[in-house]
Amino acid sequence: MKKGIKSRFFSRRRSLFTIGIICSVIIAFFTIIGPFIWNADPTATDYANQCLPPSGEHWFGTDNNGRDVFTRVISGAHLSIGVALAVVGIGAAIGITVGIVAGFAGGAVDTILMRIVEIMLSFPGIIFALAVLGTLGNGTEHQIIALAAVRWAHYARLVRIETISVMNSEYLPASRAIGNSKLRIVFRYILPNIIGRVIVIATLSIGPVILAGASLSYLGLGAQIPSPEWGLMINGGKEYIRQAPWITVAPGIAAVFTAFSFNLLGEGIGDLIDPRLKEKAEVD
Amino acid sequence: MRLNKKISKGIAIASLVTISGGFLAACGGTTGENKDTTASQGNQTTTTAASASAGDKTLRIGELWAIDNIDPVSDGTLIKEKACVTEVLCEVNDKFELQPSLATKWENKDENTWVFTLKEGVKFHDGTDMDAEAVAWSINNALEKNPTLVTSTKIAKAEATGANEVTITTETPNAELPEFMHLANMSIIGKGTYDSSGNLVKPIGTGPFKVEEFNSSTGVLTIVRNDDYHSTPASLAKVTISGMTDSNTRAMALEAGEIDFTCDLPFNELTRLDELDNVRVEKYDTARIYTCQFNCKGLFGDKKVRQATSLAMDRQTISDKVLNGAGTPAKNIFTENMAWCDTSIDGSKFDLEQAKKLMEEAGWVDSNGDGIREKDGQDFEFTAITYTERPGLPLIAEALQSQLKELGMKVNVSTMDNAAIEERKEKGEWGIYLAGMATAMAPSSIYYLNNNYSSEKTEPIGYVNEEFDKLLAEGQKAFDTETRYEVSKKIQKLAMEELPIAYICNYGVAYGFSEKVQNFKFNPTAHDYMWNTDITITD
Amino acid sequence: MAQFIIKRIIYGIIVIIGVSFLSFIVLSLAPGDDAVTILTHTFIGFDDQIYQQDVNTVTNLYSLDRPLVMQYGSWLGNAIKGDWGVSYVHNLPVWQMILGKIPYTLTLGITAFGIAFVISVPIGLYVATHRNGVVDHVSRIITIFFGSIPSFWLALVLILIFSVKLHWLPITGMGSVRHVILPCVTLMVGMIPSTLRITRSSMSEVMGQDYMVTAKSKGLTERQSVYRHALVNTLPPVITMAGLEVGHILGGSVIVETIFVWPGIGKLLYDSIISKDYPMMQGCIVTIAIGYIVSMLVVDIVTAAIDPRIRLGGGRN
Repeated sequence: MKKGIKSRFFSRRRSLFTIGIICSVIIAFFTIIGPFIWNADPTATDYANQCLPPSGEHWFGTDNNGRDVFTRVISGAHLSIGVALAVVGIGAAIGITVGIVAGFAGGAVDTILMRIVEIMLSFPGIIFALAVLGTLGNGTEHQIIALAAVRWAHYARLVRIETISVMNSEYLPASRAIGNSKLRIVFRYILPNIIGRVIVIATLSIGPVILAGASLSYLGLGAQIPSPEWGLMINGGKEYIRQAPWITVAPGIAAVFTAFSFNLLGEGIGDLIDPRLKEKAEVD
Repeated sequence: MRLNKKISKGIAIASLVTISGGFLAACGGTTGENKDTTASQGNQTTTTAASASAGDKTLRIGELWAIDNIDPVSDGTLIKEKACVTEVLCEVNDKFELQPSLATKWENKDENTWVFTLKEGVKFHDGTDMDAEAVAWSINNALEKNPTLVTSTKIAKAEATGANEVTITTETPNAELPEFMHLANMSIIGKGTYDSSGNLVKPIGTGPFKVEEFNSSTGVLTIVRNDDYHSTPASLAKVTISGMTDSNTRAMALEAGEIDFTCDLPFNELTRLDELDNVRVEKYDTARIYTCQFNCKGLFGDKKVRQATSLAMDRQTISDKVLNGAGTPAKNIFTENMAWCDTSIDGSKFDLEQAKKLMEEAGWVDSNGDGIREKDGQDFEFTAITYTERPGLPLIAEALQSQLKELGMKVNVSTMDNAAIEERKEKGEWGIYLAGMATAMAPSSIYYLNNNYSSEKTEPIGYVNEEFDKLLAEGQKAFDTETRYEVSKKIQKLAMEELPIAYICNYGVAYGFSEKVQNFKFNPTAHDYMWNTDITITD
Repeated sequence: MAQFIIKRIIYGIIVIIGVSFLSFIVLSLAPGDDAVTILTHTFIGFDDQIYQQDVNTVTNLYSLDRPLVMQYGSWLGNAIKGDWGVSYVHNLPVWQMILGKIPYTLTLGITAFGIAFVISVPIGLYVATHRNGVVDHVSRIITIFFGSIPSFWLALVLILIFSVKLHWLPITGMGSVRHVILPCVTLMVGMIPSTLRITRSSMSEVMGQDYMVTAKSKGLTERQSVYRHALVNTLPPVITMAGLEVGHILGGSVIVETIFVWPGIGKLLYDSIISKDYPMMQGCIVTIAIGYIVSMLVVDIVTAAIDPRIRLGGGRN
C-alpha cells in the first residue's frame, strides 16, 4: 500500500507535480480561507504597537504603523496571485491570437508581427514594464497591463512556431482539401495541438510574474500604499531593517514560497505532458 | 532653488544602501567601512584632516542631492547656502528680517524703481571688483538664464547708475523686491563664471569660500577658504561636499566617520544615531510645511467639512510617530520665528468629537452603519493624492487615511509625479492633495499667501473668496514692512478660518554631526542646511 | 559570410529603430505636461508655485508643442548624429550621462555573469551526462528555488545577514572588492538558473543526436564521445545563451543597482522613470537595446563561423 502511493505520486516523473500541488493547496487555503479567519483590517494603523517582534499574538510581528504583518501577508496573497493570473491570462490570450495569425497568414503579416515580437523580446522584461508603468502611472490595473504587454510576446513566438509546424504537417492539406474553413482549422487542429504547451508555459510563468509584480511594487511602480502588496510591504519595511527585520522578511518568504510552488507545479506539469517541449521552450 | 524640491527624493526612491563617489579607485590602506565614500577625493581629505593644525581643517559634508550641475543660476541653493561661494544683495536674520549684505542700503524711488547701494571694496574670487556694472550684469544674466526669476521678481532690467549704485526696474510694482534679491539663484556672480560662449566654467562669487574643484563624474565639490574675504574669513580651510542621495547611506557614512555633517537622516534612525558616541543629531523646523489642499469643488465645498477634517487630524501623533520627531504640529501657515507670523493662531487642535459634530451639522451621517458617512446616498469617499519626493508625505497620507476613517471618511491614497498630479487636479478626480510647501522661498510675508489664496490660484480647486484678493492687493502695494506684516496677519487669520488648505506639520529637518564639529548654528532660513563660517572641527 | 554579417547588421538597426519608436510612443502617452516636469526640476523648486507663464516659456524653450511625429523625427535625426537630447532633470546631455554610467554596470554585470558561467556550465554539462541522477535532481530543485527568489528581497536579506548582523561586508561605498560582493551575488543568483538549465538542455539534446549514438556504436566510451563530439556541438547554444545573458547585462541590473545605489545605467533608468525624465528614459532604453542587439550580432557571427549551416539557413530568425 505504502509503496503504491509512493509510486503513484512520487515517481520521478510526478514528484515535482505532487509537491507543487501540495504547496498550491496550502497557498489556496491561506489565500481563499485565510482572510475569513484572520479578518483584521490590514490597513488600520495602531501607533501604540509599532514594530513589535513576532509573538503569539502577532505571528510575524507588527510593522512601523503597528499593523499585524501576518494579516497583511495573508491579504496580500490575493493581490499578488490575482495580478499574476490576470497577466498570464491576458498575455496568453493576446500571444495565442498573434501567434496563430502570424503563423497562419505568413508573408508580410508574419514578418511584421514577428519583428514586433523580436523588439519586445530584446528587452529584459522588467525594462518595458517599467517604461509602461512610468508612463501610465501607478496602480494595480496598470501593473497588469505593463506585465501583460511584456508577456504576450513569449506566447506569440511559441504559438507561431507550433502553428507553422501544424500547417506543414501532412494532415492539414487533406483537411483543407475536404473544405474545412480557416477558422475551423484553427479550432480543430491548431488549438488542440498547442494548448498543452501553452499550459506548461503559462504555469511556468506564474511564479516569475508574481516576482515581477512584487519587484515593480517594490520600486514604487504598482500597488499603492497602504495596500498589503508584498513588494510594497518589503519596500516599506526596508527602512526598518535594523530594528524590525520581520517587516521585510515575512512578505519575502511568502513571495518565495508562492513562486516556488507555482514553479514546481509548472515543472511538474511539464514533466507529465512533454518533457522535451519544456526544454525546448527554455532554450528559446 | 532647484535643490529645494529634491529634499530627500533619495529616501523615497527605493534603495537602502549606497555610494555616490569614486569607482573602484585606489583606496589601498583604508578598510572598507572606514574609508571615504569618494575614493580619491576622500583619501586626500583624510590625510589633510589628519595632518592639519587647528583652524586648518576640512569639513566633509554628505549632501542629499546628486551634484551634477553647479550653475549658480539654477542651483543657487547649493552654491550659495551649502558651499558659501556666492552671496546675495540682501541677507536675512533668523527672524527672516532683511539685513544688509552685498548691498548696504536700498530704497524705492517709485513703485517700479529701486536703487541698491553696494558695499565697497568687495572683490570676486578671480580678483575683479564687485562694482555696479558687475552686479547689474549678474542680475541680468540670472534673469536671462533662468526665466522663472522674471516671473517671481518681476524685474525688467538692472543697470549701473553709479560706481556703487545699481538701479533695478520692475515690470509691475513689487513691494518686496529686496526680499526677492535674497533668492539663492539671484546670487551675485562674476563674469568669469562663464566662458565667452556662455558655458559654465566654475561659479565665481564673493563668499567666504571659493570653488577649487568640481568632479562631475564623482559628484564631489571641493571648496577652499577665501583668504581675501571682505568680512571675517572662515575658520575651516576646506570643505568637500559629496552627493549622497540615499538617506540610509548618509546615516551609515556618518556613523562610520566618513562624513562630518549631513542632513535629512531617515526618520526611524534618528534615535539610534543620536545614541552613538561619535554622532550627534539635531532637529529643527524649516521654512517648509506639509499641507493638505481640499478639493472644494467636490466633497470639501462645505467649510464645516474642511474644519472637521482638520480637527480630526492628530498632528501630534503624526509628528511623533510618523515623522519620528522631525517636524512639529503646524499651528499656522508660518512658523513662529517668522517676523510676520500671527502667533495667536493655533490650528493644530485635535478634537474628534467636535469634528464629528461638524460633519453631522454638514449633513454627513453614517445611516447604514458601515462606518462611512453618507449624504443623499453618496458615501464620503475620496482619493488623497501626493508624491514621494518628500518621504514624509506618503507616510502622512497613510496615517491620515487611518485617522480620517475614525471620522467616517473612506480615503484612498494615490501617489504620482508632479505632472500627473497637475492633470489629475485639472480633471477634479481628487479629494485632498498632500504637498510640501516652502513658505519662505523668499523671506516674504505675502508671496506664499498670494500664490495660494488669490482667486486666480484657488479657483481651480473650487474656492473663491474676494476677501483674500482684497487683502492681497493691499499687501502687495504696502511698501512699508510693518503695514505689510499686519496685512499678512489678517490673511493668515482668514486662511486658517476658511481652510481651503489645512496645515499638518512643519517640515522638520534632522542634521547629523560628527562629535568633532563644533559651533554650528542653525539658520532657519536655509532650504536644506546652511553653515556658519565660524564652525570648527576639534581633534 | 560578409553578406550574412551585413544582413544581420541591417536587421539589428531596424530593431533598434523599432525599439526607439516603440518607447517613444509609449512615453508620449504619459499624462501630464513635460514642461511642468522640466520646470520643477531645472528652474524652480518642488515646493514652489508653478506659473502658467513659466510653463509656456519652457514649452517654447524645449519646443514641446510640436506634433509627435516631428518630435520623434528630430530626435532620431539628432540621435544618429550623436545628440540624444538633454535630460529634463539634470540639464546635461543624455549621451554624456549614459556613457559615464556604462562602465559601472558592465563591471558589475560581467563579474556576476563570469562567476555564474563558471559555476553553472560545468554543473550543467555534468548533469546532462548524468541525467536523473541525484545531482541532477538536487540541482534542478535548487535552480527552481533560485528562480523563485525576487532579487530585491534577496539583496535585502543579504544586507540584513552580512552587513547589519554580521558586519562582514560594507553596504556603502564602492572602493574595494568587498563592496562588489553583495550586488554581485544578488545578480548571480538570478543568472545561475537560466545558465544552468540551458547548458543542461542543450547538452542533453546533443547527447540524443544520431552521431552520438553512432559514436557509441563505434565503440567509443561515453566519456570519449562526450569529449570528442558532444562538447563541440554544445558550443553554439551555450554561446547563444552567454550572448543573451551578456546582452541583458545593461538592462538586467535595474533592481540590484537601485537597491545597492550602484551608479550604473539601471539606476539611471529607474531614476529617470521616477522623475519622468523622458529624454533620459528614451536614451537608456535605446542603449540597453543596442547592447542586446550588438551581443546578439556577435553571437550570430561567432556561431555562424563555427557552424556553417546557420549562415546558410539565415540565422536564428
